[in-house]
Amino acid sequence: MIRLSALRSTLVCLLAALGATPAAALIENVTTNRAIELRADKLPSASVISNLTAGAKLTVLSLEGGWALVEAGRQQGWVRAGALQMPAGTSGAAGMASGRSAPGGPAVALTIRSLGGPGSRHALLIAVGRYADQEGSALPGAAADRETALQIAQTMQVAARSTRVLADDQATIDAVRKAFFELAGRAREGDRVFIHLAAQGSQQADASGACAAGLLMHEGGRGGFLSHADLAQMLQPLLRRTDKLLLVIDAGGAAAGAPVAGWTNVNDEGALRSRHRAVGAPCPPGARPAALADELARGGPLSGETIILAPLAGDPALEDEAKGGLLTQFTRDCLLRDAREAATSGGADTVRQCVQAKLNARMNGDPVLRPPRIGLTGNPGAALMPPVRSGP
Amino acid sequence: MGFLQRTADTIQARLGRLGAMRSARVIGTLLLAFCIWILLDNHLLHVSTGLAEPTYDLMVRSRLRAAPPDPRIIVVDIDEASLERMGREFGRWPWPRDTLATVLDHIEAQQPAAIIWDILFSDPDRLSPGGDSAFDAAVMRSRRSHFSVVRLPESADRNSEIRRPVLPGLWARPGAAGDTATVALIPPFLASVAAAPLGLTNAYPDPDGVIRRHQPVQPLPDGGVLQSMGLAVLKSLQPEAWEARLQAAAVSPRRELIAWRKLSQDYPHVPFADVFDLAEGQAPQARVPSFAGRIVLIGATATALHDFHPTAVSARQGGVDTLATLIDNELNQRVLAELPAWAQSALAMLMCLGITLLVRYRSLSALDGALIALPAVLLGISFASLHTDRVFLDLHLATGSVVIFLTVVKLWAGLRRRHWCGVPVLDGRPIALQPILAEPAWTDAGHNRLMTLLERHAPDCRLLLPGGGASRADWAEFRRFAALVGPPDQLQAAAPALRQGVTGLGGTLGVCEILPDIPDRGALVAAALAAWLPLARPSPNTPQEASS
Repeated sequence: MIRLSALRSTLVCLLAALGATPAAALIENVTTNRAIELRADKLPSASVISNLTAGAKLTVLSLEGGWALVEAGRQQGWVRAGALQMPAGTSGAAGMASGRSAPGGPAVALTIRSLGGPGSRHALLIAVGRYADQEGSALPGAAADRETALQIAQTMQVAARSTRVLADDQATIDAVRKAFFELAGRAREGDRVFIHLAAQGSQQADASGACAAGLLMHEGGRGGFLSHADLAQMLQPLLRRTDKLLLVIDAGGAAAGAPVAGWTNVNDEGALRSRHRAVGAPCPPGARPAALADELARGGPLSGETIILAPLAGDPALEDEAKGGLLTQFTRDCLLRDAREAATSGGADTVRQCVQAKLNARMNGDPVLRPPRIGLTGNPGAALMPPVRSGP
Repeated sequence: MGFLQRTADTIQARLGRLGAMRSARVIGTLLLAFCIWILLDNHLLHVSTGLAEPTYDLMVRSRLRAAPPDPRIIVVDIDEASLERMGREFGRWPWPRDTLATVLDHIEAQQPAAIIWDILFSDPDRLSPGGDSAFDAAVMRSRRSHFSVVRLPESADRNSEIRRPVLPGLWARPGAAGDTATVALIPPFLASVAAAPLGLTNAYPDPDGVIRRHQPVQPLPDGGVLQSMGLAVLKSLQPEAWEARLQAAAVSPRRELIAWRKLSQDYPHVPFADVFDLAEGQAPQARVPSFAGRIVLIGATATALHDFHPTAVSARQGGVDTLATLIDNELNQRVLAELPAWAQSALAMLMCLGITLLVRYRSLSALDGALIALPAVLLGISFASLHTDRVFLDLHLATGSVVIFLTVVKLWAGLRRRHWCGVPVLDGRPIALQPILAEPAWTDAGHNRLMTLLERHAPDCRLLLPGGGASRADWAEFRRFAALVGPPDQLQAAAPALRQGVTGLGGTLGVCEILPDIPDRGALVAAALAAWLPLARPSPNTPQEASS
């Protein structure tokens, strides 16, 4: 502790001597508002010392340009200041009545405005781990998915008040429909939306005998079946309006030949479980249910910035009972870190490849299942993460 | 049909009476009416400005030259490409303000002359508060940053608590009575921005929505003065010039015409993303010039950010380019002076008076071509004055008045000619015909004077002009002839005055002959031809010459 304090003092003195007077030196208990890299220098190309998780506590030693020199535990390094939960000093005028609320005509200005846009990004996170009918197995990993999806939402700069979470008994068919309806009402032209669905996948024969795929909401059974056709219908208003829509569906088809739950492989210690449950009338043999992409395509071509990540039609979705859905976990890891280090483009397909690679590694040599295949519907080039900058 | 015919007849009869009125009275009345209209329009109604504004814009856009842009000025442009490139990492605009801090530190380190933020920092960034802190710290270090403030309508001033002590950098002059005035505005959120030099970046569009003028200062009821961004930069770079400018502008605070550059985007632009890349140790896509000694404006021309306005120089000009123009004008003392309204009115009235005198003492034909030439000359003078970058001689009122006045006078002259070249009023009296010969030929001015002679001395008589009085008849020889027709008593009574007048015009009055009975028009022409023959003698000018 003494050593750290001495080092800090030395550093501050050194900075002062170099003319970079720390304007906000030694602000303690600052937290990160998203996962971020701690770098050796105030450059995006500087080497990464460590990865800081969202909510990590730091001490800020100085602010230079858009970077903060921080102390995180025993490490010192630079992070982007925008990733810090550190309020700025406000002007006296900001706290006064300024006449902005008074009626009157508008003023015309030769300027643009730098307003924060928390209202322009939205997230809807639905995770069903417990079912009302209790016929099938629960999904213990769904609780972890909620947290993981929240991290992704934070990375996408969705404010907490613009994030709606429906978990377990909150995620009934009616509640989900209502949440989609409200989201469509809130989202304005040009907004960005992240939707995460973690639940049992299912498929059943509909009244006409055709095979319909979908997800099981909290009711379970036939009453809780949310078909891809229904989902596509609920998504249409958002697709028309939003600037970017990222939809992750961590639910899938039946894992043929696999036990319902509890098998492991050598790649990780978590027990695996399939996210699928058959309800209602079984589909006719050989019938292929329509994928969500097919259902969405009926509403017209997808906009350029729509990205849907989900297991390919018929492929299973798997969860680690402790860490949550594999697709959800790996999507987060790839978005926040790994895809950037593995590839040179920030496009959605880079993320998909990264997720697929992680799935392959996780299921490598699995005695029960081959790795599920992850599909990308929408624009494979749509930007999902920061561009990769060449290292030093 | 009957109604229309009756209406047409009524109008014709009334117009005919107008032609019969004494010319001095008509012209005088017209002149008076126009003078009243000019004063009403220029000082109260402003109807003619609807024509003047597009004309002014056309002139500005058609200028052959304009003052070159100040080479120190450069725009760091948040353009579409920057939105796209920065958006990959930071999402859509507004980006976290640590990005702006990065760019500010980078530019500041190169010691520019001034940095002008054409961005309002009015609200906190609740998603990335650390970005606000970083920007706040960077602004505190910056010695050259100037920030925009937008003043809200004055009617909201009473709802504001903001006085000079909280935003001292916005006031060019404190209130004489201790800063009692409150000002409604969009205040800066960050403490460091509030303490920096500030300037108003309001725009002042004309009623048609086009920006042609700006207001360098805004006086307050307590004697304080708010300064525009142009003045704020002038204060930083040329304090003595600022003092003089403030003195002049504060004495008569009014909106001034903007002296525009030749093109709407004459200042060099550097994409923000390139400057950011450079600041972050990356290679920019295009070369980024040095900012040392430059006046750097940071603003946006990205379509999605909507900072575009119609101006005199372009239907869609970036706000940052307009701001650059205003700063350039202040630094280079380019104030486009205008004729005061009273001078415009006086000039317009003088033009109408001149036309009146010409019509009265020469003839309307003396103004042939003036309907086109005079407005063209006046607009040409206005256009030429724009090239000085110092003064704009706005002659639109004089031009418009001349065009309308001349048109009305010409219409009236047609009515007058129709009256005095028509059928005489006999009221049962016999008719007399008196031929007149002119050498070399009657002109329109001569006809006009003959009509005036009749108007004064023989109001029931008329002029008989071969070819209907066409002064440029194909057969120029006919232009020598004219005749007076009317009641013999009136012609005889007026004979001395008519003779004197005709002689004065270079004509010869022939013998007055009373026709045996009242002939029809054809017989009247035949009688005139017979009367002209004794008068006719070889003209000194050959027909070829006259024709030519």
